[in-house]
Amino acid sequence: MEFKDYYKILCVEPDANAKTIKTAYRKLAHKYHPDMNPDEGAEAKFKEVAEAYHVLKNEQLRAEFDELRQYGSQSRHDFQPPPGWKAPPNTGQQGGSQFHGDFSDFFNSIFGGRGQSHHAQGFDQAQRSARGQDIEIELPIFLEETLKESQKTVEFVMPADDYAQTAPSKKHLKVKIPQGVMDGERIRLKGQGKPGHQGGTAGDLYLHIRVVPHPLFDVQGHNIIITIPLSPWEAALGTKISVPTLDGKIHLTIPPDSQSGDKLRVKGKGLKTKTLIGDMFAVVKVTMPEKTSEKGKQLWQELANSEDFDPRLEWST
Amino acid sequence: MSETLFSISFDELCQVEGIEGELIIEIVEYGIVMPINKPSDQIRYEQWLFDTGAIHWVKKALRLRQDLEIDWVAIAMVIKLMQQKEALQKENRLYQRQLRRFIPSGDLD
Repeated sequence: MEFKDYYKILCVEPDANAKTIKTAYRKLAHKYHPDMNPDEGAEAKFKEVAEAYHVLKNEQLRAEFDELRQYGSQSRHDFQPPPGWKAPPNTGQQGGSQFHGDFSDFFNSIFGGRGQSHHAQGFDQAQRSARGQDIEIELPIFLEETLKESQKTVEFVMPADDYAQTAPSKKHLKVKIPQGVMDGERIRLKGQGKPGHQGGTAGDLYLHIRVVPHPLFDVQGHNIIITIPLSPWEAALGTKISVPTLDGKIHLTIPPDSQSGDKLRVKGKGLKTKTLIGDMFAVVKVTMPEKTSEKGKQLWQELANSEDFDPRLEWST
Repeated sequence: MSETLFSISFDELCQVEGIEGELIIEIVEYGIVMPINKPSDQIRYEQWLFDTGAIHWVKKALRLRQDLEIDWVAIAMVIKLMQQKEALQKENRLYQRQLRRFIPSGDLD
């Protein structure tokens, strides 16, 4: 086990006062906190910093650590507590800890369970029976699957359990995905998280819904948007085209003089929940042919000669 | 087949997070999360229902309070900004996708 020099972790001198330690912690916590720093490794670094602060802010723990530091600095890479050192039992006196309980082996070997209460002020859970950890996984689903209730088998890894000494294991669970689930929503599966400890209830499993981007449709609230490419003459003269929806094709009438960006609303062809049905919006995109035939060029020329249209009218003011 | 839930009661939220009800009331007072059934003040807090997304923000708020030692006003502001950022990122992804349908992706860079 490696000796952890908490002073070095917080980048402070061993004689730093409480205020300096607090300032150093705050600086590093802002830098590495997982809610502010999504980088890989930031969370591990934050845990290390939080553990160091947890010890150094507490006079008693700090004094014990200082004593051990004299001894530990000589056996940095293969640290064992000195003979006769007994990790004191959990006194339950620590409140308002910064820490979420993932103490390092080093911490546990010198302080035992002491200070491991991760309950903030107001926490009332008993120390002995602990509720299992909640687990959150992302669940990708296709847009079409949101139209009606569906069944899915989700696969996730149940983390290792230190209490029961079980290794991480793969779990499969059949779940009912209700009609109308939205991207970003969370579904709670009660009691499907990590098992509790000594009579504590199991944690929950959260499925964070991620709707897979669709090749044709975009989603805005309960409405879906499809882009419909039109030739310039279809846009000018109007036409009737076959348009895909989430549940089959429909015929859509394109009015004459349609512009790129024009939106046509198709009622009731959006996403469906038990209480609400969204619409589909067809957005016009006028597309030029990649190559124009000789005949086509002649016709465009005739149009150019006869039409009085200035697409850059706004520039002339 | 596991039961899928989209809401959580006040009591259950306390149990799940292992915290006292007063703390949840405080979190609601600061607007960090809102019950889905609080159209008026006539509903007692014991009857409050939260959507399951609220648990995610309550967890975040508690973690920020413990880890960064910041007060509820600051946490409420941080959470609000995080939620706004998430909404803007989602909106941005939608616009990027729509733009790519009009302009080939290579031309955007």
